[in-house]
Amino acid sequence: MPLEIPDINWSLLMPQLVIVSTLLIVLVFDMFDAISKKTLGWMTIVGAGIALWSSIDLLQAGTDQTQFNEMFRIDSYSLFFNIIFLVSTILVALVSISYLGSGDKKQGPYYLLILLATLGMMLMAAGNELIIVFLGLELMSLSLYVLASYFRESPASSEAGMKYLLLGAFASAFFLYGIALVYGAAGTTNIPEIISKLSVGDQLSLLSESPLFLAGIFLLIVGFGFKVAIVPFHQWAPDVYEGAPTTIAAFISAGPKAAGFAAFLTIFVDALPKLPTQATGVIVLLAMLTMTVGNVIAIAQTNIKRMLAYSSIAHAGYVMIGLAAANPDGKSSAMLYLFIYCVMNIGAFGVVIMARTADGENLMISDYAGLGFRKPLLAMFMTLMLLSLAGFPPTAGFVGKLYVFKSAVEARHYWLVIFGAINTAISAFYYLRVVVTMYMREPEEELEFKPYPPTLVIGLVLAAIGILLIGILPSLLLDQAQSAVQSALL
Amino acid sequence: MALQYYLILSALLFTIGVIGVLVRRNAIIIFMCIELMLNAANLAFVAISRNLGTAEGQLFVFFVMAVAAAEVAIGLAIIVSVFKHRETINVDEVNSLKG
Amino acid sequence: MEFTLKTFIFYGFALMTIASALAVVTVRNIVHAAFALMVTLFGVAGLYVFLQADFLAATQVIVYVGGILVLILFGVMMTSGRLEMRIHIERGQLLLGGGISLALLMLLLTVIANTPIWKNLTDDGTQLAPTTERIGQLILNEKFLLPFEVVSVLLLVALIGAALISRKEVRD
Repeated sequence: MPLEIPDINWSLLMPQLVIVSTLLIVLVFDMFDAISKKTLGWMTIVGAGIALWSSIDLLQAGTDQTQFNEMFRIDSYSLFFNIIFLVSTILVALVSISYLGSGDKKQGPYYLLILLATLGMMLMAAGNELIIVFLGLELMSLSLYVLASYFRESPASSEAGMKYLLLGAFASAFFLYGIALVYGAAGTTNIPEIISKLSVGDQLSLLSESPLFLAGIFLLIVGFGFKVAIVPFHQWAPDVYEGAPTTIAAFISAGPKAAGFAAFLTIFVDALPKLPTQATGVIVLLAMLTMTVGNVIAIAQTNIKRMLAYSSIAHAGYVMIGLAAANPDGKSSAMLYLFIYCVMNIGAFGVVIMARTADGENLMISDYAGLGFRKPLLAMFMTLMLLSLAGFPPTAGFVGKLYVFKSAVEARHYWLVIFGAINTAISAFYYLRVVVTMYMREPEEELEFKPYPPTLVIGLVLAAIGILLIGILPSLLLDQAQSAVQSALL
Repeated sequence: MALQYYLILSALLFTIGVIGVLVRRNAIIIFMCIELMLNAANLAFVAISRNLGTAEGQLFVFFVMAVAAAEVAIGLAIIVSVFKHRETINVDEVNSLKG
Repeated sequence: MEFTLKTFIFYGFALMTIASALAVVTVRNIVHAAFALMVTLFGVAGLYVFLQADFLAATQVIVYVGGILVLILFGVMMTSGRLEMRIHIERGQLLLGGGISLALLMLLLTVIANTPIWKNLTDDGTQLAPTTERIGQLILNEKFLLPFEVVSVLLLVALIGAALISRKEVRD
């Protein structure tokens, strides 16, 4: 049989192709010592920028197609998520350029792995087939394990990498077994096909009650739960965030979580209404647990990286509200929330990097005492990010929470909304405590802060503008998210 | 020979792997147990593929093997680097732990 | 059930796989565990032959036994087999872990037993046909070009990542 190359429309794959070309260019340029370390970072940013531009271009053209025999979707849903990932990547790369500085360590692999992880995320969001989702997940996870242990001279970083690796691989095995069971029950791994097999006409089919299928779904939830750190599968997150380089903690908390939810939403939002009601019950329960446990434990933290880790767990809980609602509004509000969350969380980690002294990083919340007047710019950024994380108007965080709660009300999950509201109040306590520490408390000792690196400030300014812009004009993004969900329904 | 037996076998293998990950503390043994879990999933894929009469399930196994190989390469690099730290930085701790 | 040579060999492989997998989890000596894993991997390869996956059986032996297991043994050598992780410390965790696993096993077994879709292999009478050609066609001609490409990128990650982590320390 002769080899026939399948007919592929390469122009639709521009974002992915640009990322792959960028990483090949970085790989080659990394070999020359004459290239400055920062150049590699800028190449990454330019590459991600072009990919972002082509994603937006495809999104505005209203592309809705599949490639590679329906394995790969290029529709407004996957393109919207591409934008989330690429914005996160650009912000993290901007912050990284100043964080890594121009030490003599080779930085090429760092940016390469960030690009590879981004490619994995894009595959997860665009995968129309469980096997593609799995491979994207692995591509992303393997890159992140290495990035988490990037500071080889630091024992904490290596151990963070190991812990992440062992628990991540464990979760992947659950995910894979889940795929196997779903494949056995449904006879296919194509996601839309599986969902269509769940019902015959208006009636639910036998598959929707097949124990094998439900067990597979259960294992998929466990696997996803580990990857996006929802309670009770969250224990790795604080340890990994604390030990990993701060830029990587920011990266792990943003894009990969969005990617996990991208795949989660594709499978579950359409499938949940067709599954027994207990499945929705499980999601609702997990959402409540995740929000509450994340927020309550965050109160007790004295280390700001750990506090942000628990806060990011809690935020996964808010996204789960949108998932539990399982209606188009729930899907679009979860997408909107993920975008906002990525920007504000990377911003918050960026401020932690900004507060570095010559001795290293200041990670204790008490170190932030008195910064409000001594470092007004830093304190202003931190206040904005924290207010947004807490969900105060007119920041983007408020808009995100509002739409998520609204979708849950439409789906009549009133308890979930009440839980979410109580949790927002709890979270305001620990976010505001940092703000109060900065403005009201006197510092215990004089700390010598490093001067602000310009790329970090650029990154933070971009994040701040994004947060305020979305906070004031939410329709900019919400319309995109809603049309993405609408087009998927047609 | 009904295919059910293969699935039962794969479920047993998977659970043994899970037990190993949850109760053992040696990083490399945990890694081996994860390999057991992946093999269990692979066995399930092959059996199901046989049940459906297609070769697709076998392809998934092919991909999973590549993933497993990549995972082991990276995993052992990380594990060895952690070991170097423990050995040079905190010898007592390494000695206090028993295999 | 009719007790033929075929079923006899099947049970032999099944027993070998499960017993050695149990050994991986229970033995104290890590080198013994690695050898037990080798037996498990061979057992699984044997089962693949029963399921008419000849290509995979060969790949299993070459990639898993010849590659992955050797790598694991290198890891054992380089760490003297003494590396412990500082999670799962309490004894309660042991009971919890056992409980969770048993619950999982019960769930999986019930589910598999209650699903009536499994065929009986002795009935369908298909002959052993080589699968290599079919797999090659699926990868390059038909559906699975994209995952194949993704796997190549994945191996690039392994290459870069392992080199980055195990490269010689650069002291400042």
